[in-house]
Amino acid sequence: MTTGTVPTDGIVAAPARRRRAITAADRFIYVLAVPLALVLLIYVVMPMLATVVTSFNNGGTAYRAFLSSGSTLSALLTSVGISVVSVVTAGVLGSTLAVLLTRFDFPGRRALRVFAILPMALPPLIGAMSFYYLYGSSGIMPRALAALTGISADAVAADGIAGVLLVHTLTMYPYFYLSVTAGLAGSDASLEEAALNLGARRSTMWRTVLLPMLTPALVSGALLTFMVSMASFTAPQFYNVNTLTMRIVGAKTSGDYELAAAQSTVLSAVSIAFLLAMRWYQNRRSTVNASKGTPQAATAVQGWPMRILAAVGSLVVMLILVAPVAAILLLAFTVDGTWTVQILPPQYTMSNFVEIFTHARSLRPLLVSAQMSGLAMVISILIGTLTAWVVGRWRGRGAGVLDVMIMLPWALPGTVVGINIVTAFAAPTPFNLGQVFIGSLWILPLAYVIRFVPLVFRNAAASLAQIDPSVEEAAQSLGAGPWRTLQSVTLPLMAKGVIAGALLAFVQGFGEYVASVVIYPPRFIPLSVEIYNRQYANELGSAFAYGSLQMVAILVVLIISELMDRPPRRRSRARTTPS
Amino acid sequence: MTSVSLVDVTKRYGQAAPSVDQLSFTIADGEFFTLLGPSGCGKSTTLRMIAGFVAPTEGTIRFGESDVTGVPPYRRDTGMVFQNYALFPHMDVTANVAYGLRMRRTAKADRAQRVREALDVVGLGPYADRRIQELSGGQQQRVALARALVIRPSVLLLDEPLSNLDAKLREETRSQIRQLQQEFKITSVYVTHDQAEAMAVSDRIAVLEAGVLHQLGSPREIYHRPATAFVANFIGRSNVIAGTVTDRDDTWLGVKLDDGSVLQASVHPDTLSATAEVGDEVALSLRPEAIEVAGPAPAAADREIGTLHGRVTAVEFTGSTSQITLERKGGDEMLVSVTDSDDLPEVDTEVALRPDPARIWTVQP
Repeated sequence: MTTGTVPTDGIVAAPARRRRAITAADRFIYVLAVPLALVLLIYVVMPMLATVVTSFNNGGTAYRAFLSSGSTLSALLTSVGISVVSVVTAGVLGSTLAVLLTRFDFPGRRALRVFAILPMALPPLIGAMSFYYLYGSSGIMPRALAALTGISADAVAADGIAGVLLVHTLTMYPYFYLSVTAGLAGSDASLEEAALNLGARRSTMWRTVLLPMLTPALVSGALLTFMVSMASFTAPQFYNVNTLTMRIVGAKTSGDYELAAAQSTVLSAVSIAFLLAMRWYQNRRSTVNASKGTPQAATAVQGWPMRILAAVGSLVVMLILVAPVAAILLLAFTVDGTWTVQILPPQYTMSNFVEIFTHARSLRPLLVSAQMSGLAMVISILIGTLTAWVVGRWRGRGAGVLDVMIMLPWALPGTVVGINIVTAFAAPTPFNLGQVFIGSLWILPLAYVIRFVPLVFRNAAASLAQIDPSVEEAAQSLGAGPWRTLQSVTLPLMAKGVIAGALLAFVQGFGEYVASVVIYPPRFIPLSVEIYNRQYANELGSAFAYGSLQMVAILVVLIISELMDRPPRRRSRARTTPS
Repeated sequence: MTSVSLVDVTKRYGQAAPSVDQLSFTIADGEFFTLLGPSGCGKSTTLRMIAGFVAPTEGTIRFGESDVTGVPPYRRDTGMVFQNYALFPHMDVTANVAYGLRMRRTAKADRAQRVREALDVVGLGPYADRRIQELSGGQQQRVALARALVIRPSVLLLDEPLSNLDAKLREETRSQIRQLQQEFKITSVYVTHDQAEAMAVSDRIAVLEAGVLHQLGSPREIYHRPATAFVANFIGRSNVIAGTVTDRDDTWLGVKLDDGSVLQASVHPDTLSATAEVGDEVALSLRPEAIEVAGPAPAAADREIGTLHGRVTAVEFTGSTSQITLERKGGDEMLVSVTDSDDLPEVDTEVALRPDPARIWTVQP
């Protein structure tokens, strides 16, 4: 303390010393953390609280109505029931596919591996619609069956709860497929050989060795499927099944905000409980596999009869997986209003697409969604990237708090996010800083940021975790200040992950329906709502034309992400080869 | 170019015992100074406090006359070489080396010139526009060195820079670092857990253990005149035996060991042997090469002062010398290194050992 410049230095030596224990790097983290925490508090946490507070207006009568009114309670039970069955059906399908595709070699295996993740390219609304027109009572398959066999189409159609379950099964099995595939790929063949060597039969080995090792994959797949099923809104809407999400939108539409808020609070509580259960389980489970062996090689299916059977089987599965995509593309070319009782639409035209791009009114929903989602993407990049950096570098407890704040909306059903925004930003209050977003340009971007900033955050955080912190220290020791370090070293290294996350956030916003339908302002009708309206007005071709554009957008993004993941090609080095 | 002083520097994380405890020393201008100790001894924390990445809980750090304790790392003008090199993976070799100059707003022409010189110095001239991923570990290490040297830092900090290289490269790079340091006369602080490496390059070595400074001195001093049992054990190989001072004189010290035998240690000025008093607990450090085997052990009654006894458990031929491992009464192991000859003791025989009194070091237990 000899060259202190502060005059009071000698007098208050102790606090001055303590203050010094905070380095410049720590100070920079606080400078970033405080505004980020405020933004997340106002736009993410506060709306949730607003819904909870609203639900208790009038002394909690909404909850009494919830419990007494049979339809609400039965809606909750329906949601839970559908979710439980979805977990089972998606689990069986996803795990079976994973085991078949990783453990057996048969004709069609490689193609099937590509098609197995196709459901991820389906936007939620148009996906549900295509299933409805494929397997519903006025769908292609039941009509075709009826024409072939004479059984009435209604008898074989998947309608009501069965329809919802079909959509859930065929769109949610990838959660199981991906986690089980990863689990099997990470398992060591020598463990299985050890079990067989010790005298276990193959079935015993599966039960005592492989299944316990796959438990974490199955549990996380199950929790995720359950959460997504509880949040599902589009499928119930199409099949007119009275789930809790349907009740929430119904209550909001009829102006009963307290009831909608109470139902949202209950649904949030269930979803958050499942998110916490998932985190708890993932943190608790022991490292599954300590040895670094090679996974078991695939067993080739032997013998011609079996091989032909396998080939036919994979062809059928492939057709089922491609069907919704094919249906979307097919229906996009039908002439509006011509498909009535035929098996397939009778007339086709290009005009649905031509109209979208030539009529300003038809182009508008596309532009609205692109702009709203683009705006949300820019904001998500800013907030998600900086929060990822702060959470990754902050050694204090605040890091965990920020992490939870930004990831919370991930657990919330889109419907609930919509209700939260409606309750929080309907009228000026001190908590929302007097901002009213209802009916404004900003409401859709706000919803998209809240829902999809976790995508940017998670991708950015994953890239940050790959960066050695000493690289940042190297920059600092070479004279770069914290901001300069972030901008010249850390952010360029995070760029790939951020871009991948941002693109994903963009297409999700571009296809968003569930929250949009709750909050969209009449002046800015987003694409998905327009698709629903067109379908409702029996303009099926136009609806599916929009939907096929959404699907193409998702495919483009998935392909770009896949290309970015590949290592860059080495530049030619002929000129600089050392002599 | 500057000197570096630490005054009573302490670093505490939470309630645990301090990682660095009341550390004080001054590194002279142009000196090659090494922080040596086992992992977890606080050497890296000390280096990171000098670099400015870690703020000391108490104490002051000065560069020359100016207090840099609260100065952020980017204003300290240090060049640092990291254990894993910490090269920027998104930049090529030239951009990595130029980074510090860019931060200092060096003119473009000058910058290019200096980067070229720095790369030539470390022998990487032809690799200027390679991507980092295309370089071998040794080449990456030299890029890191060039990047730290090109800014002509007032202090060069090296955090175990050789630990990721193979043995042969380690020795080559070690002498290259020393040579460059001498050429540029840069004050350097070097962190390592490898005592041979520390001895080979350093002007002075600070031996740390559990955050405490055990000894500070030239490589010769700490090898031949260890101050504590820890230093004696850590630097080279040594037999450290606890005992009590029973008797003393101006020229020798009588120490009774735990197994009852008595050794006489010479008194060396300015060491513990000059100040220890009768009744003090001390430890004796006996280098394996300072002990001779004095034939079969005599009967217990005939044992002389100045000898130790033990049962041979292993004899290993290692070339010019042979290593004899013995077990003393009480089970402690001892190591004796003798010139190879034909009459080495047999395994399982009891032998007498006679340490050279002038080379017995009295150290803090």
